[in-house]
Amino acid sequence: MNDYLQNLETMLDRFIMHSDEKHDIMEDYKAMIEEAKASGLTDDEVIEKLGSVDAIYQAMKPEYRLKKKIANSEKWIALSPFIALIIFFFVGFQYEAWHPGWMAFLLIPLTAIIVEGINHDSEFKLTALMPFLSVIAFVLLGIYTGAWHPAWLVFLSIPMMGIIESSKEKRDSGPYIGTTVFLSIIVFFLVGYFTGVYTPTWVILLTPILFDLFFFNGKKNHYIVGSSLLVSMGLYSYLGLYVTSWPIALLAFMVFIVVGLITGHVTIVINTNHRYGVLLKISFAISLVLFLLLGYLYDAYQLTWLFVLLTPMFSIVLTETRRRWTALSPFVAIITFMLIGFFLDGWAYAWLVFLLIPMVAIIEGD
Amino acid sequence: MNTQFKRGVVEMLVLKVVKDQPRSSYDVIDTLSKRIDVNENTVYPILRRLTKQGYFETKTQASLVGAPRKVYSITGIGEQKLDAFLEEWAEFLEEVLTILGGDNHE
Repeated sequence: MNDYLQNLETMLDRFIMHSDEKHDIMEDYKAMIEEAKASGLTDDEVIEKLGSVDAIYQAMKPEYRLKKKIANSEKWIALSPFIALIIFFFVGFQYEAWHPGWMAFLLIPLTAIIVEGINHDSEFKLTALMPFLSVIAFVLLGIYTGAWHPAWLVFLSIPMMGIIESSKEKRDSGPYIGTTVFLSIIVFFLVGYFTGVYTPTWVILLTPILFDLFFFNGKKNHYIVGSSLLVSMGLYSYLGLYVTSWPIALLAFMVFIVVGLITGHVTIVINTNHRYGVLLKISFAISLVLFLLLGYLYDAYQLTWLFVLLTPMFSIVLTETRRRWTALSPFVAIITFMLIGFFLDGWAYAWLVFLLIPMVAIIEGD
Repeated sequence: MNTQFKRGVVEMLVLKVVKDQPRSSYDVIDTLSKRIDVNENTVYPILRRLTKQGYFETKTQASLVGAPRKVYSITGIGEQKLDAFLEEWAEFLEEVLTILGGDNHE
Protein backbone atom coordinates (compact mmCIF):
# COMPACT_ATOMS: atom_id res chain seq x y z
CA MET A 1 0.00 0.00 0.00
CA ASN A 2 3.03 2.25 0.32
CA ASP A 3 3.22 2.65 -3.46
CA TYR A 4 -0.44 3.56 -3.52
CA LEU A 5 0.08 6.27 -0.90
CA GLN A 6 3.21 7.55 -2.60
CA ASN A 7 1.45 7.79 -5.94
CA LEU A 8 -1.44 9.52 -4.24
CA GLU A 9 0.92 12.10 -2.74
CA THR A 10 2.59 12.72 -6.11
CA MET A 11 -0.82 13.11 -7.69
CA LEU A 12 -1.89 15.66 -5.06
CA ASP A 13 1.19 17.73 -5.92
CA ARG A 14 -0.42 18.45 -9.28
CA PHE A 15 -3.14 20.48 -7.58
CA ILE A 16 -2.90 23.93 -6.04
CA MET A 17 -3.55 23.17 -2.40
CA HIS A 18 -2.12 24.21 0.94
CA SER A 19 0.36 21.79 2.45
CA ASP A 20 -1.95 21.41 5.49
CA GLU A 21 -4.75 20.28 3.24
CA LYS A 22 -2.53 17.85 1.40
CA HIS A 23 -1.36 16.45 4.71
CA ASP A 24 -4.97 16.16 5.86
CA ILE A 25 -5.98 14.24 2.72
CA MET A 26 -3.03 11.88 3.09
CA GLU A 27 -3.93 11.24 6.71
CA ASP A 28 -7.54 10.57 5.69
CA TYR A 29 -6.46 8.00 3.11
CA LYS A 30 -4.11 6.34 5.57
CA ALA A 31 -6.97 6.09 8.04
CA MET A 32 -9.34 4.74 5.36
CA ILE A 33 -6.79 2.12 4.31
CA GLU A 34 -6.27 1.10 7.94
CA GLU A 35 -10.01 0.83 8.52
CA ALA A 36 -10.55 -1.11 5.30
CA LYS A 37 -7.81 -3.56 6.15
CA ALA A 38 -9.15 -3.94 9.66
CA SER A 39 -12.45 -5.04 8.12
CA GLY A 40 -10.59 -7.86 6.39
CA LEU A 41 -10.02 -6.50 2.89
CA THR A 42 -6.88 -7.38 0.94
CA ASP A 43 -4.67 -4.67 -0.61
CA ASP A 44 -6.32 -5.08 -3.99
CA GLU A 45 -9.78 -4.93 -2.46
CA VAL A 46 -8.82 -1.78 -0.57
CA ILE A 47 -7.67 -0.13 -3.79
CA GLU A 48 -10.84 -1.24 -5.48
CA LYS A 49 -12.88 0.20 -2.63
CA LEU A 50 -11.09 3.57 -2.47
CA GLY A 51 -10.41 3.85 -6.18
CA SER A 52 -7.18 3.87 -8.17
CA VAL A 53 -4.95 6.95 -7.90
CA ASP A 54 -5.90 7.92 -11.42
CA ALA A 55 -9.60 7.60 -10.63
CA ILE A 56 -9.15 9.73 -7.49
CA TYR A 57 -7.28 12.30 -9.58
CA GLN A 58 -10.19 12.44 -12.04
CA ALA A 59 -12.67 12.76 -9.15
CA MET A 60 -10.68 15.58 -7.54
CA LYS A 61 -10.13 17.54 -10.71
CA PRO A 62 -13.43 19.46 -10.49
CA GLU A 63 -12.65 20.44 -6.90
CA TYR A 64 -9.11 21.80 -7.32
CA ARG A 65 -7.16 23.84 -9.81
CA LEU A 66 -4.19 22.30 -11.53
CA LYS A 67 -0.86 23.70 -10.42
CA LYS A 68 1.58 23.41 -13.29
CA LYS A 69 -0.62 24.70 -16.04
CA ILE A 70 -1.77 27.70 -14.04
CA ALA A 71 1.75 28.52 -12.86
CA ASN A 72 3.05 28.68 -16.43
CA SER A 73 0.08 30.71 -17.54
CA GLU A 74 0.48 33.15 -14.72
CA LYS A 75 4.14 33.58 -15.65
CA TRP A 76 3.17 34.74 -19.11
CA ILE A 77 0.45 37.00 -17.81
CA ALA A 78 2.77 38.45 -15.19
CA LEU A 79 5.51 39.03 -17.78
CA SER A 80 3.27 40.73 -20.33
CA PRO A 81 3.32 44.24 -18.74
CA PHE A 82 7.13 44.24 -18.79
CA ILE A 83 7.27 43.02 -22.37
CA ALA A 84 4.71 45.69 -23.30
CA LEU A 85 6.77 48.38 -21.54
CA ILE A 86 9.97 47.30 -23.33
CA ILE A 87 8.24 47.35 -26.72
CA PHE A 88 6.65 50.73 -25.92
CA PHE A 89 9.96 52.37 -25.01
CA PHE A 90 11.85 50.71 -27.83
CA VAL A 91 9.35 51.79 -30.47
CA GLY A 92 9.08 55.23 -28.86
CA PHE A 93 12.80 56.05 -28.59
CA GLN A 94 13.98 54.20 -31.67
CA TYR A 95 11.27 55.24 -34.11
CA GLU A 96 9.64 58.13 -32.24
CA ALA A 97 6.40 56.23 -32.61
CA TRP A 98 4.97 56.78 -29.13
CA HIS A 99 1.68 56.77 -30.94
CA PRO A 100 0.66 54.13 -31.99
CA GLY A 101 3.40 52.46 -29.91
CA TRP A 102 1.11 52.72 -26.88
CA MET A 103 -0.81 49.84 -28.40
CA ALA A 104 1.90 47.55 -27.05
CA PHE A 105 -0.01 47.77 -23.77
CA LEU A 106 -2.88 45.93 -25.41
CA LEU A 107 -0.57 42.92 -25.17
CA ILE A 108 -1.46 42.69 -21.47
CA PRO A 109 -5.19 41.91 -21.84
CA LEU A 110 -4.46 39.97 -25.05
CA THR A 111 -2.04 37.67 -23.23
CA ALA A 112 -4.43 37.14 -20.36
CA ILE A 113 -7.32 36.32 -22.70
CA ILE A 114 -5.26 33.95 -24.85
CA VAL A 115 -3.70 32.12 -21.90
CA GLU A 116 -6.93 31.83 -19.91
CA GLY A 117 -8.85 30.93 -23.06
CA ILE A 118 -6.46 28.03 -23.75
CA ASN A 119 -6.40 26.89 -20.11
CA HIS A 120 -10.11 26.85 -19.67
CA ASP A 121 -10.86 25.94 -23.28
CA SER A 122 -13.14 28.96 -23.44
CA GLU A 123 -15.71 28.88 -26.22
CA PHE A 124 -15.52 32.65 -26.58
CA LYS A 125 -11.79 33.32 -26.60
CA LEU A 126 -11.84 34.85 -30.08
CA THR A 127 -14.84 37.03 -29.18
CA ALA A 128 -12.95 38.24 -26.13
CA LEU A 129 -9.90 39.00 -28.30
CA MET A 130 -11.81 40.88 -30.98
CA PRO A 131 -12.23 44.23 -29.13
CA PHE A 132 -8.45 44.51 -28.72
CA LEU A 133 -7.64 43.27 -32.21
CA SER A 134 -10.26 45.67 -33.59
CA VAL A 135 -8.74 48.63 -31.74
CA ILE A 136 -5.30 47.74 -33.14
CA ALA A 137 -6.63 47.34 -36.67
CA PHE A 138 -8.73 50.51 -36.39
CA VAL A 139 -5.91 52.71 -35.12
CA LEU A 140 -3.36 51.33 -37.61
CA LEU A 141 -5.75 51.72 -40.54
CA GLY A 142 -6.72 55.19 -39.35
CA ILE A 143 -3.16 56.41 -38.88
CA TYR A 144 -1.58 54.90 -41.96
CA THR A 145 -4.42 55.35 -44.46
CA GLY A 146 -6.32 58.25 -42.88
CA ALA A 147 -9.49 56.28 -43.48
CA TRP A 148 -10.99 56.38 -39.99
CA HIS A 149 -14.19 55.94 -41.92
CA PRO A 150 -14.72 53.17 -43.00
CA ALA A 151 -12.01 51.66 -40.75
CA TRP A 152 -14.56 51.68 -37.89
CA LEU A 153 -16.22 48.76 -39.66
CA VAL A 154 -13.63 46.46 -38.08
CA PHE A 155 -15.55 46.81 -34.83
CA LEU A 156 -18.40 44.87 -36.39
CA SER A 157 -16.09 41.85 -36.19
CA ILE A 158 -16.84 41.75 -32.44
CA PRO A 159 -20.55 40.83 -32.66
CA MET A 160 -19.82 38.69 -35.74
CA MET A 161 -17.26 36.61 -33.87
CA GLY A 162 -19.65 36.37 -30.94
CA ILE A 163 -22.34 35.01 -33.25
CA ILE A 164 -19.96 32.56 -34.93
CA GLU A 165 -18.52 31.23 -31.67
CA SER A 166 -21.90 30.94 -29.98
CA SER A 167 -23.31 29.03 -32.95
CA LYS A 168 -20.60 26.36 -33.15
CA GLU A 169 -22.78 23.81 -31.39
CA LYS A 170 -26.05 24.94 -32.91
CA ARG A 171 -27.47 23.89 -36.21
CA ASP A 172 -30.09 26.56 -36.78
CA SER A 173 -29.55 29.22 -39.40
CA GLY A 174 -30.26 32.22 -37.13
CA PRO A 175 -26.67 32.92 -36.14
CA TYR A 176 -25.42 32.70 -39.72
CA ILE A 177 -28.07 35.13 -40.89
CA GLY A 178 -26.90 37.37 -38.04
CA THR A 179 -23.42 37.47 -39.54
CA THR A 180 -24.79 38.26 -43.00
CA VAL A 181 -26.47 41.35 -41.51
CA PHE A 182 -23.07 42.65 -40.36
CA LEU A 183 -21.40 41.59 -43.59
CA SER A 184 -24.00 43.49 -45.62
CA ILE A 185 -23.39 46.63 -43.51
CA ILE A 186 -19.64 46.31 -44.09
CA VAL A 187 -20.05 45.81 -47.84
CA PHE A 188 -22.55 48.68 -48.05
CA PHE A 189 -20.21 51.16 -46.36
CA LEU A 190 -17.14 49.95 -48.24
CA VAL A 191 -18.88 50.27 -51.60
CA GLY A 192 -20.22 53.68 -50.53
CA TYR A 193 -16.79 54.81 -49.39
CA PHE A 194 -14.91 53.76 -52.49
CA THR A 195 -17.53 54.77 -55.05
CA GLY A 196 -19.30 57.60 -53.23
CA VAL A 197 -22.59 55.93 -54.15
CA TYR A 198 -25.04 55.02 -51.43
CA THR A 199 -28.15 54.84 -53.62
CA PRO A 200 -29.15 52.32 -54.92
CA THR A 201 -26.33 50.38 -53.25
CA TRP A 202 -28.30 50.39 -49.97
CA VAL A 203 -30.13 47.37 -51.39
CA ILE A 204 -27.03 45.43 -50.27
CA LEU A 205 -28.57 45.74 -46.80
CA LEU A 206 -31.39 43.49 -48.03
CA THR A 207 -29.06 40.60 -48.86
CA PRO A 208 -29.50 38.88 -45.44
CA ILE A 209 -33.14 38.34 -46.43
CA LEU A 210 -31.98 36.76 -49.69
CA PHE A 211 -29.50 34.54 -47.83
CA ASP A 212 -32.23 33.40 -45.52
CA LEU A 213 -34.65 32.64 -48.34
CA PHE A 214 -32.21 30.97 -50.72
CA PHE A 215 -29.72 29.18 -48.50
CA PHE A 216 -31.31 28.46 -45.15
CA ASN A 217 -34.82 27.36 -45.94
CA GLY A 218 -34.95 25.30 -49.08
CA LYS A 219 -38.71 25.44 -49.65
CA LYS A 220 -40.09 26.16 -53.08
CA ASN A 221 -42.09 29.26 -52.19
CA HIS A 222 -39.05 30.70 -50.42
CA TYR A 223 -37.23 30.65 -53.76
CA ILE A 224 -40.21 32.39 -55.34
CA VAL A 225 -40.24 35.17 -52.73
CA GLY A 226 -36.44 35.41 -52.88
CA SER A 227 -36.60 35.76 -56.66
CA SER A 228 -39.28 38.44 -56.35
CA LEU A 229 -37.00 40.39 -54.01
CA LEU A 230 -34.14 40.07 -56.50
CA VAL A 231 -36.44 41.32 -59.27
CA SER A 232 -37.55 44.23 -57.06
CA MET A 233 -33.95 45.17 -56.31
CA GLY A 234 -33.02 45.08 -59.98
CA LEU A 235 -36.13 46.94 -61.05
CA TYR A 236 -35.60 49.58 -58.37
CA SER A 237 -32.05 50.18 -59.60
CA TYR A 238 -33.13 50.33 -63.24
CA LEU A 239 -36.05 52.68 -62.60
CA GLY A 240 -33.98 54.96 -60.38
CA LEU A 241 -31.05 55.10 -62.75
CA TYR A 242 -32.84 55.44 -66.09
CA VAL A 243 -36.54 56.19 -65.71
CA THR A 244 -37.62 58.14 -62.65
CA SER A 245 -36.58 59.47 -59.24
CA TRP A 246 -35.32 57.16 -56.51
CA PRO A 247 -38.33 57.60 -54.19
CA ILE A 248 -40.73 56.63 -56.96
CA ALA A 249 -38.46 53.75 -57.94
CA LEU A 250 -39.15 52.36 -54.47
CA LEU A 251 -42.49 51.23 -55.92
CA ALA A 252 -40.51 48.39 -57.52
CA PHE A 253 -40.61 46.68 -54.14
CA MET A 254 -44.36 46.27 -54.60
CA VAL A 255 -43.41 43.16 -56.62
CA PHE A 256 -41.78 41.65 -53.53
CA ILE A 257 -44.60 42.76 -51.24
CA VAL A 258 -47.36 41.37 -53.48
CA VAL A 259 -45.58 38.03 -53.99
CA GLY A 260 -44.85 37.91 -50.24
CA LEU A 261 -48.52 38.56 -49.45
CA ILE A 262 -49.57 35.71 -51.77
CA THR A 263 -47.10 33.23 -50.29
CA GLY A 264 -47.72 34.40 -46.76
CA HIS A 265 -44.17 35.61 -46.17
CA VAL A 266 -45.39 39.17 -45.81
CA THR A 267 -48.28 39.65 -43.43
CA ILE A 268 -50.00 42.81 -42.41
CA VAL A 269 -51.02 42.73 -38.79
CA ILE A 270 -53.50 45.33 -37.65
CA ASN A 271 -53.78 44.97 -33.93
CA THR A 272 -57.09 46.63 -33.24
CA ASN A 273 -56.97 45.57 -29.60
CA HIS A 274 -53.74 47.39 -28.95
CA ARG A 275 -54.27 50.01 -26.29
CA TYR A 276 -52.37 52.63 -28.23
CA GLY A 277 -53.19 51.27 -31.69
CA VAL A 278 -54.68 54.51 -32.99
CA LEU A 279 -51.85 56.64 -31.64
CA LEU A 280 -49.26 54.35 -33.23
CA LYS A 281 -51.03 54.41 -36.58
CA ILE A 282 -51.10 58.19 -36.49
CA SER A 283 -47.40 58.31 -35.58
CA PHE A 284 -46.57 55.90 -38.41
CA ALA A 285 -48.52 58.05 -40.87
CA ILE A 286 -46.76 61.20 -39.64
CA SER A 287 -43.31 59.60 -39.81
CA LEU A 288 -44.02 58.33 -43.33
CA VAL A 289 -45.12 61.79 -44.44
CA LEU A 290 -42.03 63.37 -42.87
CA PHE A 291 -39.79 60.78 -44.53
CA LEU A 292 -41.24 61.38 -47.98
CA LEU A 293 -41.85 65.13 -47.70
CA LEU A 294 -38.52 66.17 -46.18
CA GLY A 295 -36.74 63.61 -48.34
CA TYR A 296 -38.30 65.16 -51.43
CA LEU A 297 -37.84 68.79 -50.39
CA TYR A 298 -34.22 68.47 -49.29
CA ASP A 299 -33.28 65.42 -51.36
CA ALA A 300 -32.19 63.80 -48.11
CA TYR A 301 -33.76 60.35 -48.15
CA GLN A 302 -30.54 58.90 -46.80
CA LEU A 303 -31.31 60.74 -43.58
CA THR A 304 -35.08 61.17 -43.49
CA TRP A 305 -35.70 57.42 -43.24
CA LEU A 306 -34.77 57.93 -39.60
CA PHE A 307 -38.27 59.34 -39.10
CA VAL A 308 -39.61 55.83 -39.67
CA LEU A 309 -37.85 54.78 -36.47
CA LEU A 310 -40.06 57.15 -34.50
CA THR A 311 -43.02 54.75 -34.49
CA PRO A 312 -41.30 51.80 -32.78
CA MET A 313 -39.67 54.30 -30.40
CA PHE A 314 -43.05 55.83 -29.63
CA SER A 315 -44.45 52.33 -29.06
CA ILE A 316 -41.64 51.54 -26.60
CA VAL A 317 -42.23 54.79 -24.71
CA LEU A 318 -45.94 53.98 -24.40
CA THR A 319 -45.76 50.28 -23.55
CA GLU A 320 -42.37 49.40 -22.10
CA THR A 321 -42.17 50.28 -18.42
CA ARG A 322 -39.43 48.04 -17.06
CA ARG A 323 -36.45 48.46 -19.33
CA ARG A 324 -37.54 51.33 -21.50
CA TRP A 325 -34.14 52.91 -22.05
CA THR A 326 -32.53 49.59 -22.94
CA ALA A 327 -35.16 49.06 -25.61
CA LEU A 328 -34.77 52.61 -26.86
CA SER A 329 -30.98 52.62 -26.91
CA PRO A 330 -30.47 50.88 -30.31
CA PHE A 331 -32.73 53.45 -31.97
CA VAL A 332 -31.05 56.35 -30.21
CA ALA A 333 -27.66 54.93 -31.19
CA ILE A 334 -28.61 54.57 -34.88
CA ILE A 335 -30.06 58.08 -35.06
CA THR A 336 -27.07 59.63 -33.28
CA PHE A 337 -24.67 57.62 -35.43
CA MET A 338 -26.28 58.81 -38.66
CA LEU A 339 -26.57 62.45 -37.53
CA ILE A 340 -22.94 62.68 -36.38
CA GLY A 341 -21.79 60.86 -39.51
CA PHE A 342 -23.67 63.02 -41.97
CA PHE A 343 -23.57 66.46 -40.38
CA LEU A 344 -20.15 66.36 -38.76
CA ASP A 345 -18.57 63.86 -41.13
CA GLY A 346 -17.67 62.01 -37.97
CA TRP A 347 -18.06 58.40 -39.05
CA ALA A 348 -14.69 57.63 -37.51
CA TYR A 349 -15.90 58.20 -33.99
CA ALA A 350 -19.68 58.09 -34.45
CA TRP A 351 -19.67 54.28 -34.08
CA LEU A 352 -18.81 54.84 -30.42
CA VAL A 353 -22.47 55.64 -29.77
CA PHE A 354 -23.23 51.92 -30.27
CA LEU A 355 -21.44 51.34 -26.98
CA LEU A 356 -24.46 53.07 -25.47
CA ILE A 357 -26.52 49.92 -26.01
CA PRO A 358 -24.65 47.58 -23.62
CA MET A 359 -23.95 50.49 -21.24
CA VAL A 360 -27.63 51.34 -20.91
CA ALA A 361 -28.48 47.64 -20.54
CA ILE A 362 -25.99 47.36 -17.68
CA ILE A 363 -27.18 50.54 -15.95
CA GLU A 364 -30.85 49.60 -16.28
CA GLY A 365 -30.24 45.91 -15.55
CA ASP A 366 -31.31 44.13 -12.38
CA MET B 1 -26.74 8.21 -16.17
CA ASN B 2 -25.62 11.82 -16.41
CA THR B 3 -22.47 12.33 -14.28
CA GLN B 4 -23.58 15.66 -12.86
CA PHE B 5 -26.95 14.20 -11.93
CA LYS B 6 -25.28 11.23 -10.27
CA ARG B 7 -22.91 13.49 -8.32
CA GLY B 8 -25.92 15.45 -7.07
CA VAL B 9 -27.59 12.25 -5.89
CA VAL B 10 -24.40 11.03 -4.21
CA GLU B 11 -24.09 14.40 -2.47
CA MET B 12 -27.61 13.99 -1.06
CA LEU B 13 -26.88 10.41 0.05
CA VAL B 14 -23.64 11.43 1.76
CA LEU B 15 -25.55 14.08 3.71
CA LYS B 16 -28.20 11.50 4.65
CA VAL B 17 -25.88 8.74 5.87
CA VAL B 18 -23.87 11.21 7.95
CA LYS B 19 -27.09 12.64 9.37
CA ASP B 20 -28.21 9.13 10.38
CA GLN B 21 -25.07 8.77 12.46
CA PRO B 22 -21.61 10.36 12.62
CA ARG B 23 -19.25 8.33 10.47
CA SER B 24 -15.66 8.10 9.30
CA SER B 25 -14.96 8.69 5.61
CA TYR B 26 -14.36 4.96 5.08
CA ASP B 27 -17.66 4.19 6.79
CA VAL B 28 -19.49 6.60 4.46
CA ILE B 29 -17.91 5.01 1.38
CA ASP B 30 -18.56 1.50 2.68
CA THR B 31 -22.20 2.22 3.58
CA LEU B 32 -22.97 3.72 0.20
CA SER B 33 -21.09 1.17 -1.91
CA LYS B 34 -22.86 -1.73 -0.20
CA ARG B 35 -26.27 -0.38 -1.16
CA ILE B 36 -25.84 1.28 -4.53
CA ASP B 37 -23.51 1.18 -7.49
CA VAL B 38 -21.61 4.29 -6.52
CA ASN B 39 -18.28 5.41 -7.86
CA GLU B 40 -16.36 5.18 -4.56
CA ASN B 41 -13.57 7.53 -5.51
CA THR B 42 -16.05 10.41 -5.94
CA VAL B 43 -17.37 10.08 -2.39
CA TYR B 44 -14.30 11.32 -0.55
CA PRO B 45 -13.92 14.56 -2.58
CA ILE B 46 -17.63 15.22 -2.03
CA LEU B 47 -17.25 14.61 1.68
CA ARG B 48 -14.37 17.08 1.82
CA ARG B 49 -16.22 19.69 -0.17
CA LEU B 50 -19.33 19.45 1.98
CA THR B 51 -17.13 19.84 5.06
CA LYS B 52 -15.48 22.92 3.57
CA GLN B 53 -18.92 24.34 2.87
CA GLY B 54 -19.82 23.92 6.54
CA TYR B 55 -22.33 21.10 6.12
CA PHE B 56 -20.21 18.73 8.20
CA GLU B 57 -17.90 19.12 11.16
CA THR B 58 -15.20 16.68 12.12
CA LYS B 59 -13.81 15.47 15.40
CA THR B 60 -11.27 12.85 16.28
CA GLN B 61 -12.58 9.78 17.99
CA ALA B 62 -10.64 6.97 19.63
CA SER B 63 -10.75 3.77 17.61
CA LEU B 64 -10.70 0.14 18.70
CA VAL B 65 -8.26 -0.60 15.89
CA GLY B 66 -5.25 1.56 15.12
CA ALA B 67 -5.02 5.36 15.28
CA PRO B 68 -7.91 7.63 16.31
CA ARG B 69 -10.47 8.15 13.52
CA LYS B 70 -11.74 11.39 12.04
CA VAL B 71 -15.53 11.31 12.32
CA TYR B 72 -17.90 13.49 10.30
CA SER B 73 -21.19 14.74 11.76
CA ILE B 74 -23.81 16.94 10.17
CA THR B 75 -24.20 20.61 11.15
CA GLY B 76 -27.35 22.75 11.32
CA ILE B 77 -26.88 24.14 7.82
CA GLY B 78 -26.04 20.64 6.65
CA GLU B 79 -29.46 19.49 7.84
CA GLN B 80 -31.10 22.43 6.10
CA LYS B 81 -29.25 21.54 2.91
CA LEU B 82 -30.39 17.92 3.19
CA ASP B 83 -34.02 18.98 3.76
CA ALA B 84 -33.88 21.17 0.67
CA PHE B 85 -32.33 18.29 -1.30
CA LEU B 86 -35.00 15.84 -0.13
CA GLU B 87 -37.83 18.22 -0.95
CA GLU B 88 -36.43 18.82 -4.42
CA TRP B 89 -35.86 15.10 -4.90
CA ALA B 90 -39.42 14.21 -3.81
CA GLU B 91 -40.87 16.73 -6.28
CA PHE B 92 -38.63 15.42 -9.03
CA LEU B 93 -39.54 11.80 -8.34
CA GLU B 94 -43.24 12.63 -8.24
CA GLU B 95 -43.01 14.24 -11.67
CA VAL B 96 -40.98 11.35 -13.07
CA LEU B 97 -43.44 8.78 -11.72
CA THR B 98 -46.39 10.79 -13.04
CA ILE B 99 -44.85 10.80 -16.49
CA LEU B 100 -43.96 7.13 -16.38
CA GLY B 101 -47.30 6.13 -14.85
CA GLY B 102 -49.73 7.33 -17.47
CA ASP B 103 -50.58 9.39 -20.51
CA ASN B 104 -52.38 12.19 -18.71
CA HIS B 105 -49.38 14.39 -18.41
CA GLU B 106 -48.77 17.36 -20.67
